[in-house]
Amino acid sequence: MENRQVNLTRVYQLSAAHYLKSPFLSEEENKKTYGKCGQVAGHGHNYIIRVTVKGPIDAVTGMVTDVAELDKIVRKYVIDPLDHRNLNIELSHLSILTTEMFIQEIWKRLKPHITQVELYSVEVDETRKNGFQYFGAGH
Amino acid sequence: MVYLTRKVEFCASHRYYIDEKSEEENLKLFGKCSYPHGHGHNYILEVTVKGDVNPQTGMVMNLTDIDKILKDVVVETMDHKFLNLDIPEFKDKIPTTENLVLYIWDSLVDAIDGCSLHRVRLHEDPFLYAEFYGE
Repeated sequence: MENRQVNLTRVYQLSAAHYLKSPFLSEEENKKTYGKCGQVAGHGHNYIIRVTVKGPIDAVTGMVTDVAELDKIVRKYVIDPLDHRNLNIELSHLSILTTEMFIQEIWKRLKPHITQVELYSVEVDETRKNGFQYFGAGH
Repeated sequence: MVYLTRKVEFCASHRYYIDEKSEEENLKLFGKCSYPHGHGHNYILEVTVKGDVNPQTGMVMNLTDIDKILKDVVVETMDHKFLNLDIPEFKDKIPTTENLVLYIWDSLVDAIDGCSLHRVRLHEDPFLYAEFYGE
């Protein structure tokens, strides 16, 4: 019974600016592909980030993981460095600042530090109308 | 196969505390959740069942039946209760969201008739939820 796998999800918000431009496309193609998301002055979102970890429940604490510890990791590596910032500047190593690229960056930042439990998925809602989920490379 | 999710809300209080540990150790382990007189949440429970659509009714499961089960099994036992004291399961076990989700799964799994329980997801507040798929 103790080995049953429970998912625990914590929800965070991150507000940041970005714009979309692909270095692999011409100016014309960029305009056509990204429309108003490509305006170089940028725009912003209240990103909702859901971090899900998975594991058995600790018999003593009744918890899958220490939520305060998870909060600390997410704040240190994702929220604090990126909240109220410009993603194109902070994450200039990414070729294009789509949420698809951003979500993988979040995974990459969290994965090495979440060691007590399995990082199961990261979800990012860019707006109330579009969201993304990532389970790590190969999933 | 179609998946059907029904939501239900219940309000309950609880406290995270291990009797064998000191007040200080509990505070370190559980933070505010260990405060002596408990605290409460508006829990939102999402129950997802899965099954083939019945060709006569066009339904996976009648929502009225799900509602009755959720009322009898979950709401009646948990709504406006102090979970540590009012539910025997949590006499010696902390009613964390994780433990609650397993308790609710175990309470529902045999009551769901004609299709199968797929997922139980319990939101403690807008920023934390636990879920179980029967794995």
